[in-house]
Amino acid sequence: MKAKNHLSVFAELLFLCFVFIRIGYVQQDAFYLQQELQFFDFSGSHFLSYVKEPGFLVAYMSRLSTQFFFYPFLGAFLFVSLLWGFQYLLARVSRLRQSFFPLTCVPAAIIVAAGCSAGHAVWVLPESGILYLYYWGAVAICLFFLICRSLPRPWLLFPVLFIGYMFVGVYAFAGGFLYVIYYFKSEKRNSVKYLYCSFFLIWMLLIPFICYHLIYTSVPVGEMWQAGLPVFSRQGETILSPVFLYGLLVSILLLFISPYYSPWYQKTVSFKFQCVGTVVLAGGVLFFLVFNTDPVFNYEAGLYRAMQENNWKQVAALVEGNNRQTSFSIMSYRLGCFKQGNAGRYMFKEPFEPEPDNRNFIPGLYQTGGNIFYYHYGVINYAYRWGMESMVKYGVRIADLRMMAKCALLMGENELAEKYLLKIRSSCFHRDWADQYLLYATGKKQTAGADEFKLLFPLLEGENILDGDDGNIEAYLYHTLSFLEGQGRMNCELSLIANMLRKDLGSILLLYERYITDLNTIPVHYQEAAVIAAYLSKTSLAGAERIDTQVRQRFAKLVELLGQRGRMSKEDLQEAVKSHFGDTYWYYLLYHETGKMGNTSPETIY
Amino acid sequence: MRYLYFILSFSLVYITGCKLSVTEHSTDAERLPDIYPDYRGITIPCNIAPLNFDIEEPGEQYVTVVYGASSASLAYKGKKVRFGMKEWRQLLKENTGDDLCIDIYVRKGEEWTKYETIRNRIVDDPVDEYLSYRLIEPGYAQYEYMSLNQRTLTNFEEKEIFNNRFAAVSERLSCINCHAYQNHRADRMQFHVRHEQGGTVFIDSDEVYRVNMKTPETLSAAVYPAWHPTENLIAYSVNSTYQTFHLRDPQKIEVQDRESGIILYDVEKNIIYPVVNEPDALETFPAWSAEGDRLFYTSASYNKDGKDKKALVDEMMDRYDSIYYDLMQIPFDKQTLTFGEPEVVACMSDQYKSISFPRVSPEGRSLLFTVSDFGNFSIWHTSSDLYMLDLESGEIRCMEEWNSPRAESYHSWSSTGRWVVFSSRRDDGSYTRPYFAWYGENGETGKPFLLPQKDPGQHLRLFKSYNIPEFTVNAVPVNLRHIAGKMKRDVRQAIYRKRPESL
Repeated sequence: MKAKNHLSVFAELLFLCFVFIRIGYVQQDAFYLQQELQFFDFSGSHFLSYVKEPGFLVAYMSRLSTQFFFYPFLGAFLFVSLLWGFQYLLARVSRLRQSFFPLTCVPAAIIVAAGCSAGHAVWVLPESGILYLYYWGAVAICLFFLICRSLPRPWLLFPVLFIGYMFVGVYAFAGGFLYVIYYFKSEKRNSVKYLYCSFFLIWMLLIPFICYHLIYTSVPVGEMWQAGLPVFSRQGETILSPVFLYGLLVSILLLFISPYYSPWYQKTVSFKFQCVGTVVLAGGVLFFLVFNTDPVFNYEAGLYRAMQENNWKQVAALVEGNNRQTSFSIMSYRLGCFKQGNAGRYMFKEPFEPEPDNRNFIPGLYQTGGNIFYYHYGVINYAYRWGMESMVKYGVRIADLRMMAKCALLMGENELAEKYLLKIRSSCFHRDWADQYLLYATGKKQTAGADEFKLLFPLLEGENILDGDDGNIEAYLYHTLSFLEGQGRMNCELSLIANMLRKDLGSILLLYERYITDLNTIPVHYQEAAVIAAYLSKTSLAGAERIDTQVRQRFAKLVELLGQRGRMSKEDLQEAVKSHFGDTYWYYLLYHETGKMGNTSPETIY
Repeated sequence: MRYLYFILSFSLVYITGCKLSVTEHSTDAERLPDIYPDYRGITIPCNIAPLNFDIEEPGEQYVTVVYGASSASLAYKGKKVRFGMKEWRQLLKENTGDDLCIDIYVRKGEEWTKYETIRNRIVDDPVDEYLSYRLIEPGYAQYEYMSLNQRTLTNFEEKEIFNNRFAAVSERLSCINCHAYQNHRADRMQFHVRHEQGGTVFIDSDEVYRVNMKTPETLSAAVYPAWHPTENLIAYSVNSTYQTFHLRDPQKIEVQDRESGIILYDVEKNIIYPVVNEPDALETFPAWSAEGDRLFYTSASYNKDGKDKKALVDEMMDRYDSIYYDLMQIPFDKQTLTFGEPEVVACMSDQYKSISFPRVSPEGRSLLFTVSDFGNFSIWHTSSDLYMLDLESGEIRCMEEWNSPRAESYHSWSSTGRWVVFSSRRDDGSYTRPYFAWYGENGETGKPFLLPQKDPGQHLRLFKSYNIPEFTVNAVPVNLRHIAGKMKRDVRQAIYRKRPESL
């Protein structure tokens, strides 16, 4: 008997460990990002801003809990503890025997799967605490059932359902529905039970209409039926599949009604059967842990977090250690190289090619934290703009507030920065960060002397023009930087890089000439760019004697290789260039499509 | 009343006790205290909601004493000074025409400091009961939830007139903008809804309908409205607008008209007539004179010279800071619905300045307008300031007491002409807030004050701007569901006519 109990506990522990590893380790950056993409504080006004919608408590609690992912392990530990609490609650609701307790892992696993599979949709979710939205919804169902069951009189369900709807939305109906089943099975008087159950069901249908007319006068009637649920679509576009919600509801319902309809449910289960069950469960969870991931999103979330923390080494390391690249990761890598001062040596080291987007939902780069590039390249108005656009679309979020506060500081708009910083300060885990920046906003420290800002100020210089990026951050950014004519070597280098990325050979030559003046060592990629630009422009290269012998020799080999183009297919030629020169600017210039502004092809080299 | 006496007596006893211990040991700071909002030396109407404020001086203990020449003193403890509605009304009633004085004492360590007395003047000019505005983030191209709200100025009640969730089609939210009333009466209201289910929504008592104002002959749907003071006619601008962004300037956003003109809409007959649309000019911001015999508008000369759309936009983007609007007027005959010849009223382009938002005072003597360094999107221009034109003498006066180094832009008159509400970005440079300013019979002015809130910190916490503040003397007679239901069902198409039938 003891062994059986131990097995049940073992299965549960195994499940919780898997969940902990998945959330706290495998997807820690994704969950860290979730807390960045929301805002929560304990103030009364913040609470009241939720109360005006039905089902507010689910959204409120989900934001409250999600903020703990600021410390991923703490967040994961809290979630796992709460998940166990839910399983316990569910076991009580469905009156499970102890040996069947691991069955509660099924709805729990669905909650985890729903939260972990949100992937890229997290970027555009108005409620980014998606994991907890499901979690608190499920808890609300169980709690609501227990409350109903404890009512001394069945008719009390009418007001309780009404109030429950206001607090937890349609989850109250799910809990109420379980109670209706319970009441139906436990009430012996047929006439009474049919009457009550019919009225309960009709009442549930009526509640949203009554609330719509009496209480929530600013909420459209269509939204009353989705109260408390996650937002599955925006502007007519599906961002999340509701399949997990259905799965969750069905699994809870099945667990609840099983005692009524399954004779085997009441029988003692053999130890052997339990062992098999545990192995199957563990296998299922393991399968979920290994396969049901969104590695690209987790990778981008990791990059985003590293950039937020100005950890440029980590950015480079992440990209170099990953085989799958995206536009976001490539831009991050370039930025990381530039920030570390070795763009000229490493930026084209790998033949980075972004994967074609094959996600179900593809948010544009500007929505995927793209304003971080604007910020670090000194295009501050646009960084601010996309922070604001994001806040308009998805509500107040820590990441956007941060960005706008820093932009405002850079633009000398200290009162504005203070407004954002005070908001950030009212959150639980970002207070220290806000305090640090409030010193600048209140004039106690100067932005000009700050390490973070001093490199950005030179980039702010230059002529103001009216423009627009059409949501294409990459093209607009490089276009803007290519005209960065400000003073100093940094601006010159950045402009050279931008022109290299845009494949503007004429500008490369001009900027190269300016850049190498008084420079001891010329980074290899700049030499490569200058050599090929001079070659294609049929002009002599200023400072040609400073080109390394190795670069000269490799370029001669490239020319020789391309000379064989008549004897090789296009694909074979590209493969040959990639294998020999994939770590050069030449490969980027000839084959890379990211820039798209240039029209250089292997044919043009002769 | 007995209750009020009890409070006053209790307060007096409390104050006396307080003041004794505070005033005996206090030293004078010889300056005004810092408070938020800046309710220091302001002029306020005799019916305004309580001007609650927070003291922004460092200290451990705070005592505020409020009194007037004709009233007893009231004392408040703490940094947050919140007036009770009844005691506040009593204070206003007893001190109308006089000053409301506020003494603030702050204890730092063992020492109490007394700041200079704040004197706020209460004038016997009540402000209109309601203020309506759109609440919207100071965003760029994106928008999500937005609402038209109505705030009661004599207390803190706020309700939504309409929000765009009710205009949504297939989850896509529409933009709602440009609400306007006839003669400060909310029985006749209009606002625009853009995109799906777009059009101009008209509310006439409990009748609500939507009109599609875009016709093949007009440049665009109706944009900036001006309701005729006596007739059921609305002058609108029609604008072909585009938005661009400043790369480096902190003014951030620019909205320009590629083309624009003025039309007249006969609400009852559902007919649109053209008013002005010169090929080499950009006309916008119509505003009626008090009698309705003249239509003011702003106009910028621009040689379009047969350029195609793209070339024109590119050129205008390059020259954005050298487009200047002047103030024009055109006579109007309301019997025949005909207009005379346009003439310049105020030319500021020769000073490299640009005029926007002309608004004539209800008695017809003054015209308030915004002046900025260029263009017409003055809300984002830090140079935007309010100016007053005396329509009798032609004298133009910069309203220095009302202006700040940041943008003062949209404004409207109260029904009595004694109060002006204007949107200002003085607080943080980005979020507009409604400020109220007194304009005396003889042109005297008072220092403006921020819209009072139950908790003034709400202004700091709110991430929305107050857009297009408009006074009304009564509340909008229908609720948002009524509007939503009717506007979906009753849709009309405006008809375009070149000239009125009378001609």
